[in-house]
Formats: sequence, C-alpha cells, structure tokens
Amino acid sequence: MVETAIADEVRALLLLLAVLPSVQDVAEHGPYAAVRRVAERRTLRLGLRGGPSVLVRLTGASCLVDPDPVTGSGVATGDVLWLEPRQIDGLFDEEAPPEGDRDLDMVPPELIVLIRRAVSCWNAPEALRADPGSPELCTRVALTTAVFAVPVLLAHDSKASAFRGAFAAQGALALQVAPDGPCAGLRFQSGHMRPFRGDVDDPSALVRLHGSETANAFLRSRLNIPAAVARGDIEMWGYIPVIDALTLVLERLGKYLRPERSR
Amino acid sequence: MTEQRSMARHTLPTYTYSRSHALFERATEVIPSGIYGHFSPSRVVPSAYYPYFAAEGRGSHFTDVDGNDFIDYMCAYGPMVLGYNHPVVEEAARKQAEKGDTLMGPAEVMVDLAEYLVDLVPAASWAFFSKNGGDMTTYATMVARAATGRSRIVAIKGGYHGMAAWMQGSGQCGVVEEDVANVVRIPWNDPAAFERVLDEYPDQVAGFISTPYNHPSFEDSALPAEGYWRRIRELCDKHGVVLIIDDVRCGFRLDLRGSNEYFGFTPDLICFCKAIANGHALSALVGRADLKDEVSKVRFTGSYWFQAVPMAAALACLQELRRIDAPRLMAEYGRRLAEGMVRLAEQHGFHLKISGPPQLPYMRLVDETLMLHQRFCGECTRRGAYFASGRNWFVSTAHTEEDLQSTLQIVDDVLSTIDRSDPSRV
Repeated sequence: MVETAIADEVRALLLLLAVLPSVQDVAEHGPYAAVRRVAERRTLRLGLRGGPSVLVRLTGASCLVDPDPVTGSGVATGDVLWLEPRQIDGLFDEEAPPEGDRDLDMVPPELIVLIRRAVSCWNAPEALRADPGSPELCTRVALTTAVFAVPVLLAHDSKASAFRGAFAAQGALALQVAPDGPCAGLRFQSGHMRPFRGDVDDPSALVRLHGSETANAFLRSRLNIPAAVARGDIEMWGYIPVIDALTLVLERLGKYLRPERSR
Repeated sequence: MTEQRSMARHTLPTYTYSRSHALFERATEVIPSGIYGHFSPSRVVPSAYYPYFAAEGRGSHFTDVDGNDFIDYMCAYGPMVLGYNHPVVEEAARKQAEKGDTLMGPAEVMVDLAEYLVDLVPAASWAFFSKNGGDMTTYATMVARAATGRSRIVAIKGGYHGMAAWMQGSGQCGVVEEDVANVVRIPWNDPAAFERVLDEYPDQVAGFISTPYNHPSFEDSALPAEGYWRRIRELCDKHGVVLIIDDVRCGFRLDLRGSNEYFGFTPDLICFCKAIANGHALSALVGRADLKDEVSKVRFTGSYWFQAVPMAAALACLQELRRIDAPRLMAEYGRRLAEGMVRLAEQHGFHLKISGPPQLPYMRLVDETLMLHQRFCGECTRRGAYFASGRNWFVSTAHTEEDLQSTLQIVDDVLSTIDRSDPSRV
C-alpha cells in the first residue's frame, strides 16, 4: 500500500512537472491552432494541495507552462488544486470525456484537449505516425517530458535517486535530434539542475539522436542503446557517465507513465 | 580498407570498417548488444572511428577484420604486456597444451606458478588462482569478511573492481539494494573520510579495497598523496581491517613485486589479473601468511580455474617480464611517448595533460568538454594509433621505436587538421 501511494505521488508529480510542460510544445508546434485559442487571457495554477503546482498561461495564441517553483509563483486567475495524487489522472486520461468531470470544471476545454494530445504523443507516437507533423511533435513532447522528468525522478524515485551524484558536475547535458530537429536538456550549476528547451552552447555531454524514430525510442527507453550507438543512430559525446545515468533514470519514467496507467 | 580523405589538408589515409559493421549486424541478431561490456562500441567516442572486431595480433599491433593495422595503446585493455603472440609465452602455452589443459586435477605448473609468485611478490605468502580480476576482488572481500566476522567493505568513489553486483552502483539494472548495502564509498586520497567511516561503523568494517592509485574513467588519474598509504595502513591495523589492493589493471607494469612496492606500502591481499599471463585467462589472489587459513575456509572455485595452459603462460610471462626488467622498459617508452605528444600539442597550440604513471598514462587534450579529446583519440585511431578517450592507455614492452615515430606522425597529422570549433560534428 505504501509503495502504491508513493507511486501515485511520483506519477502525479511527473504529470504536473514533466508532462504538463510538453503542452507548450503541442500548442506551439502541433496542428491545433483552432483549439489552442481561448477567448480570454487566463493563468491557471494546477497542482496538488500542499504540494507543487504549475502555472499555465493561456494567452490567446499560446500556452506557456511554467513548472518552476520560484517563477511559477505568479498571480493566477484560477486555482485547480487536487486533494489526492490519483485524482490528477482525470486531467491526463485520453479516453475520459472532458465534460462532466467536476474536478475539471475550472479547466478550459481547449487546455484539456492540448493536455490529452500531449499524453497521446507520449503514449503512442506510433499510432500518430500518419498524422502530418505528428512524429516531430511526438519527439518534442518526449524531449520535454524526459528532461523535465529527470529532476522529479532524482528527487522522488528511490532507484533513480541513486544517480543524483552523476548529475553533480557543472555544465549542461543536451539531447539533440539530428539533423535539424529540436534540442532540450539539463543545466547543472552549484548542485542545482534546470531543464531547458532549445540549443545550448558547449554542453559538457551531448546525445545526438538521428531521426525522430530513434529519438522517440530512446526517450521512452525502447531502444537497445549500445547497438544504436554502434550503428550510428545515436552519438554520445563528452562526459559519458552522465549520459549513462540519464538512460537509467529514463528507464524509471516508464514505470510511472505507462499508457495503461492513464486508462 | 582505407580511403583518402577528399580534404587536401589530410595527409594520412583514414580507415573504414565495413566488415566490422556487417559483422556487428550479424552479432546483434544472436548476442545481446552485439558486443557487450568494455568492448562495446558504445564505449568509444565516436564509435564510427573505431574497429569493432579484431582479427589478429602481433607484437604491439593488431589488425581488425577489415585488415586495418593498429599500434595498440589499449593492449586489449591491459592483458597484453609483452606483445601479442609473444614467442616465449606461446611456446610455454603450446608445450603445456600438448600435455593437457583442463585435466582431472591441477597440473604441476600450478605449484610452480604459486612458488614463483610467492618468491616474486614480497606481500605474498600464498597464491590462489581463478580467471578474471572480478573473481579475485569478490573473493578478497569474502576472505576479509571471513577473517574479521564483519560485513562492511570500504571502497573509493568511482573505483572499479569488477562487475559483480556488490561492486556495481545502486540503481544499476539487475542490482538490488541488498547487493550494495554493505559497501561504503569514500573519496580518493582522504584518510580522514576512512577514519570517519571506521568511527561511524565501529567493528563493522571488514576490508578496505582500492587500486594502488586512482584511475577513474573519464577523469584524470590521481597518484596517492604523500603519506596516504601509510595512514591507510595504520588505520587498517588499528581497527583490524583487511587492506586489499586491486592490482588487476596496474599489476606487473609499475613493479613486478606488486604496485604497492612502487608506492611503498604493504597490503594484506593483492588481486592480480590482466598482465599476469600476457592475454591467457588467469587471475590470482596473493596475501599474507596468517590469512591462508581463512582463504582455505571460504568456498570459491570454477570449472576452468585449474586450466594448466594459462598457468604455464603466466609463469613464462612473469619470468620474461623479470628478465627484461619490463616496468623500466614500459616507463621509458611511456615517458618518450608523453614527451613527444606534449611537444606536438604545444606546437599546434593545444594543451595535452598527462596524468598517471608513464606505463599507464591518461592523456587528455584539455578543452571545456571532453569532446575535443574524444575527437582527437578517434582521429588517431582511424589513422592507425588506437587510443581510447575514456580511460588510461597501456604501454607494453613490445612497443618499438618505429611505433613511437609512427604514433607521433599520426598525432602530428591529427593535431594539424582537427576541427576545434565543433569537435562533435563528424
């Protein structure tokens, strides 16, 4: 029971702090301009009562997600705070109707659509392959989810926390989709770790993922990494131990964000 | 086999590896990861610049399955010390093979070898044989626990002593918390940290295991500070802790009597492997007299641990190493290699940092990241000087003056052409 409760809590934190930031990618890069437009500017705080929360700013044409606990403390026009970690699942459940759920009354339906699109991008990129732009979008969603998940897992997952020491160095770990795909990563400074999107100069460790398919498989721990490196599908450069640690931490992500958990 | 680069600034041809890659594809069908462990192509950067499969070795060179020839500065990650296919060692192995290898009982050569080791290594009153370094480090910790009746083992952070579950870090696949629960890690060169552990776990520490100097992966090597080993020895004596030296990597390269002699201290147990038999599968645990009975009590054996051929090879190897004063030869070559490379680096405006002893140098092209160094090692490798970037290199007694000059020519060529601005762009 204790293990289940802990797993529920870690999953809730991952949904809030790792999956929710990828909604910004869906809004910016997905072919969903119609649904992402909301009539009024709104800033929602989504979170666990007494726990972390995330600010989501809906400003007409964009959806900015700020999971940073410091800068994320800005003024919200509405709070949606759940009492139990498990209750958060409803927001991320691809198959649940967005209407009729009292917990979600405060959440604009446009945002719910974006969130569930992000979830489907994470869960089943293969199923979306035929959709125009979907492989690239799924890669962006996976990149964001993965890098934002690392600090959560290091802090809250007992197995992943064993690798905290590997991330103690200064510098940045970058994940880059080649030849000209997105980049995201983690910056390390003075014992702190911050996920980022976009390019970074002179990373201390670099994983270059050749193609969306390779990236999607790598980020979801569905790849034989040594074989992929040998074939040239993945390049690893710089301080390799931090990349080794990253791959082991990402293995833990699947334990919490398995597709069946959200159904 | 080779291609002349279209860019005119390259003067030396670079290798290609089509057969290696084809063989790797076959391997992935039937072998996990294709090639596993330390020979996995994923461990060298950029892997496309390295051969995956070897075909044969002679002296200081090996050829890959594409027919490319390399001056080998990794020496099969240490076992090759006299040169591949060394005539003296192979003749001894062949003679023993004619009589038998795995027989219904150990051969006489096992006793000969044990006597030779006891004579050669001052810290050894007995010798025990198995196959790999990890066998012996694991066995040494069991002996320490048997001798003391305690459970905890102190090791150095980042220290590597084989792939047994107790030695791998918490969180690694297949490792459970219980496997590593009794291993306490402390920083290198920090006797005060060891003292704190001894205070924190009174009468619980069975053994202190460490390499004679620190040679972590992806970091510079670090020699023991003045007085470090003396203080560790004192603390082990005071608290009844068994001092175990993992001499698997350095053994017989720094000092034939054990690397502890090189650094001036006496351990209780020493684990040897790699260079002991010039590539034949053998490892050894040696130790102080009063631990012999404890060793006898700890059950440990394996199907092929009594193979006579590797023991005959080891005896011949050790005798030859002693005859030619091998550590001195390797140190001289290592020093000249380092001096030549540092000089070339300076000429081309680079800073090449050398750490560790000359027989096992860790050479690093200094940069904000390791990427320039990785590119440098890869470029040298695909021109015929096999350098790995993530760990120390190995010098052998087979490396020749011609090897040295060829190596420096390759280094000069690479340093004159390497792209400093974006070394990861291949």
